[in-house]
Amino acid sequence: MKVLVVDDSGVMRKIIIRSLNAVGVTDVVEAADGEEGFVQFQAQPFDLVLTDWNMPVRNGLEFVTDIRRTGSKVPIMMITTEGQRSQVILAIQAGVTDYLVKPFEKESLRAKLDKYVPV
Amino acid sequence: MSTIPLTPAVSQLPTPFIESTRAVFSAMLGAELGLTDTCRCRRFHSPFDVSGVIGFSGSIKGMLVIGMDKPVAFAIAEELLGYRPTDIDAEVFDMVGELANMIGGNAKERMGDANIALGLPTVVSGQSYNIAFHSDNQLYLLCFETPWGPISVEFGLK
Repeated sequence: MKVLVVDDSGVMRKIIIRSLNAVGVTDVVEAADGEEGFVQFQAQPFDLVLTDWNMPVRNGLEFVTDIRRTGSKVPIMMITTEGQRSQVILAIQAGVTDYLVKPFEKESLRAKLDKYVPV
Repeated sequence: MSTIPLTPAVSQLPTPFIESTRAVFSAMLGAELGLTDTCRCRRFHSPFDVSGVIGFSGSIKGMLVIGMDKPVAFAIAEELLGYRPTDIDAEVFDMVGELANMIGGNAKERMGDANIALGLPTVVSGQSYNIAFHSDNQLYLLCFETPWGPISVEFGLK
């Protein structure tokens, strides 16, 4: 399983990758913003995309829109501080398939990841 | 350090920030924070080694600053990343900025106003620096005791 992790915070990427490793996912590609993430997305196939919303250059919502414009059905989980209902609806309309609000407990992220990681 | 109870009047505006700071440390670090002091203040100065700053815009304008000393920052980094930094490097900057981002974002959510927007975090460190709030801002200082030492969350809003 190959996962793309997009977040402008290197620390947050590390936290997410530790959780991915804990559920057995080690094939992870990192990107620091939506533009870099989309370059990675076009360069290789992914089974899951995890992305922040608020990022410089190209934000997570634009990144998700870019992915869906390609026709890809890859699961996309947005992990963000944007927790208001209106924002969640915007993200779902853009094509997000799952949503996790920061701050999150490790167990919450792992429970979400379990849905996408093959046993 | 003693815990100082909040009066209702003083607690009204800081409440989302108190709760958001506690929520971030509880969820991400498994730490329960004690509030050791809180006061409205008109002058701001940061006595801490490193500070993360995040701006608010829209229906509420201003900024939030989280401050901590090196040992506290290193200990939090160790909890989050699994290894302890030895200096205030890019990862410590990144971590303090992300804490500011999460506290600000969570406070925004608690204020329940969809017209508040957050900027991207900035981090400063050094021997001597000041972060100036706009003179129109109402300033608040919150002091928390973490398992690794004190931190402050200061914010000025209009």
